[in-house]
Amino acid sequence: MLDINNLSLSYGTQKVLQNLSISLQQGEIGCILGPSGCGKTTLLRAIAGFKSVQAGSISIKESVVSDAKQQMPVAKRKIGVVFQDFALFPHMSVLKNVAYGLSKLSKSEAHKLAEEAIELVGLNDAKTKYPHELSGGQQQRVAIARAIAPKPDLLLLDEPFSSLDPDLRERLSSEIRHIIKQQNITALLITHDQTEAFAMADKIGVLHDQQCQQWGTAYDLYHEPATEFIADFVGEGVFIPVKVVAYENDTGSTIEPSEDKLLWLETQLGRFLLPEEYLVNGTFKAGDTAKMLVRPDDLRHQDESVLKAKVVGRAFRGAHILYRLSLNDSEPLLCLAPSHHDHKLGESFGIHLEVEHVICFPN
Amino acid sequence: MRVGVNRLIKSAFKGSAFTVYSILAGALLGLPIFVIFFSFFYWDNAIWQHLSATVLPKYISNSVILAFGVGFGATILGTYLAWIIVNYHFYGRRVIQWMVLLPLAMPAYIIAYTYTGLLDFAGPVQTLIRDTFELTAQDYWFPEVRSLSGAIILMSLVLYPYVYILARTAFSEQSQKYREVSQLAGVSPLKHFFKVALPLARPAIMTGGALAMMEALADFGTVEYFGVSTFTTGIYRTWFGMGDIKAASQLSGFLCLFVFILIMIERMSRRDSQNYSSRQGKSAQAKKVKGLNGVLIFLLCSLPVVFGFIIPFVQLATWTLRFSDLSNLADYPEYAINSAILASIGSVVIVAMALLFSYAKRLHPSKTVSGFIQLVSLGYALPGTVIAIGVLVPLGWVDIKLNIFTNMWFNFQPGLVFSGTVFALIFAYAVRFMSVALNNTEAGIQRIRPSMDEASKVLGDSPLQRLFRIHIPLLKASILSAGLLVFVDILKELPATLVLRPFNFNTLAVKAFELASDERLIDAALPSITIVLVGILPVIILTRTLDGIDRKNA
Repeated sequence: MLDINNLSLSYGTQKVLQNLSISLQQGEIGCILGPSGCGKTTLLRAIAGFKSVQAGSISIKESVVSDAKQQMPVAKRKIGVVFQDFALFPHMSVLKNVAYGLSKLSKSEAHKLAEEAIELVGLNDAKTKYPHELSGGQQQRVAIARAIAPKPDLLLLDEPFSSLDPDLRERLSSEIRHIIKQQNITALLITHDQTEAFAMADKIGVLHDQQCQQWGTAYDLYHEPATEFIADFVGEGVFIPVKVVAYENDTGSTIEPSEDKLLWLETQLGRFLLPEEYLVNGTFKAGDTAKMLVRPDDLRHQDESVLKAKVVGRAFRGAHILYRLSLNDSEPLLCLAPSHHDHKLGESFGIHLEVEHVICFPN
Repeated sequence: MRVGVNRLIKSAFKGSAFTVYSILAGALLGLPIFVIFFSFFYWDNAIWQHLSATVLPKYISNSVILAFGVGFGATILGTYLAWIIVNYHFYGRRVIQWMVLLPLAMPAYIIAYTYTGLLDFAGPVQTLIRDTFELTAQDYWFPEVRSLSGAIILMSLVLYPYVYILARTAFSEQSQKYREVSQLAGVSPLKHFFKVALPLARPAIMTGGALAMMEALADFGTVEYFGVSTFTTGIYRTWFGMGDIKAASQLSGFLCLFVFILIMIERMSRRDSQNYSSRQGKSAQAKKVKGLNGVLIFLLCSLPVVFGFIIPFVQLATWTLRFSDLSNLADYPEYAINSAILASIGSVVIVAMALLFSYAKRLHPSKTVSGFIQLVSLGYALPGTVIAIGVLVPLGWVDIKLNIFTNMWFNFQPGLVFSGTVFALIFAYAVRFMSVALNNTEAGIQRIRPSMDEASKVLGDSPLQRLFRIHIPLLKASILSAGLLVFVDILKELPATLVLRPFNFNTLAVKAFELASDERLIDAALPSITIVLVGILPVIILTRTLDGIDRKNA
């Protein structure tokens, strides 16, 4: 549906994005996540056709809409955009706003489509009202209705929830996801807020350093981050130092050495087998030092566990408490424990390791 | 009424001396407005029968056509200039941006007689036509400058900046996103202008148009010089020619009805423009225009300035430098000094009064004080002739009573101490220009944080000390610009000065007008060009302020 291939964007001599490739299937919701100033908005403007492309291509429905040579006019792309500040016309009623992009159609047709879109976002009662008479959440819905009324092939949302209150943000984002899914609309959202990205998107791309660091599901980003930046940027976690050592089957482990190239990761928490994909790449060799990602959910709290750490910090989060733990005076680890396991600072804290994904980066 | 007076007294005592001041000064400045307003209720049938049988229909139709014509002309010129300057980058845009406001420095009566000199039968243009084509007067037709349509065109040329300033701010505040929405919807730029940009700027444009129409209704010099009978010329003639103050004040009251309609339109538009405020995200980016199109746009934008300022200014300069004879120069210092003294006294008094109003409101914000401030800011809408009559009536009454009183007890008549002196002039100026000063002092005082007052209070300042130690030093810039604006406005003011000036007291404006009326256009050039040159000062300040707003929006 949406295919972006090796896209490079720049302003004058200043490069913004390089070799970016992402794609979305019909009905998928994608999300571009990144800190402010990483080029998210530039990408969105390039897809909409407001900005020219320096290299690579953007295709919608298998036809190229932008590449270095040509650029399809904005109006012909069949794209809907929900702007960050909504950009509703203050002098037009809700109905007029929504019908604005339907002026090519006959009056009755336009009216019908606009009413449908308004119905869809649940604003039937506010049809004749003006934007300044609406709440922020309602304005947001009008903006969505206006963008989807002409039945676009692709819907772009530019930080659609950033101007709303946090709790409204959460409710609206699930509502809007529902609408988009129900209409089988392909959508691309940009945001700097990961909870928003996790709540809305099927596929997420993280922009950093002019690159798309990874394009995958929220699960992938969290549990199998492709780069150190993503590991750090998405979710919580700490890096612990590891030493890469040659595999010796001296522990009575059940793992059968299929090849003698297997490597151990030696940490203060024990030894882990280096996953095979790292072996293929040849990133590590015996004797290297590296760092391993430990997420708060990789550590399980068990009072009876033999492995004991000391509580050096705690943050109450309602259902859970996020503990900061120190093991042998090392860098603190994070552990998310159910809230009724209430341990004071300095207390000893039994932990049990359940590392499902071993993620490791060279130093 | 009783309740109202009681409440007034109560709120006066609840506040401080500043509140008492604002009530007394407010009542004093409101007096002329009330005099005119109430004279309308002392309906005199005989006067109206006479008026409606003779001149009234002409006054009404001319005034209405003039106001609408100027409103229309100024709106068209101001809107297209604002749209182009906000949305296009072309060679020479910075120069145009600066020059576009220059016509503000050109009073309508001066541009009127300058163009008359240029375009009438003996003027250089017609002479050139006759000489080139060897024609006589009967052979060709040339439009008559001294006509209602001439007045409309010339006034539009100097009043369009009122629309331009407001429209420009409105256009430049429109978010770039709006254009993108239109692009996404496949709406053409022209359609976008009519469906989105123009409707959004409509309240601002209408406010500017209403202001231009008020100025047109208030004009006296142009229409009198062109021999077009309007309310203002009628009021002047009724009083000066026939000495009939009663008829003059009745006519003034009638004119005020039109003015109040315009005030309503203006106020309503201002309120609308708040609802329509579209200050979201980045402002529209100007599009680059190069080559021939750039040159065309430059020419298109320079036309109003060329006709509204450059041509008349060059003509005035030529007259002054080439033809003025030295004997006229002898009187010039006297008018210039009279004007300067009058404008200096006026601006000091008016700015001081405005400052006290603003400070009183800050100390004890109450409905009463705000109400009086609103009342005294109404003066800007009232024509100078009307204010003159409104000042003359009560001051004349006081003078008569005073003379009777002193004659009775001391056998001595001091004469017209109020109505026949500079006092009456300053009074009239204060009524007319108080809002100009108040705009500045109000905006300035609102920028001072309330914590400043609290800090000064805690450290033991009295309200008066606070005014001098905190507010006046912080308001220096506002006070100076208020003073300059009032100074220039007084310098340019014609009708009230003409009616109220003491016997044989001439100012630059009065002299310029009298000389022009006597068809001594060349001699009128020197006082005129003086007024125009001084008038450029506030234009410079205004340009800078607008540039500042631009930078904030960018």
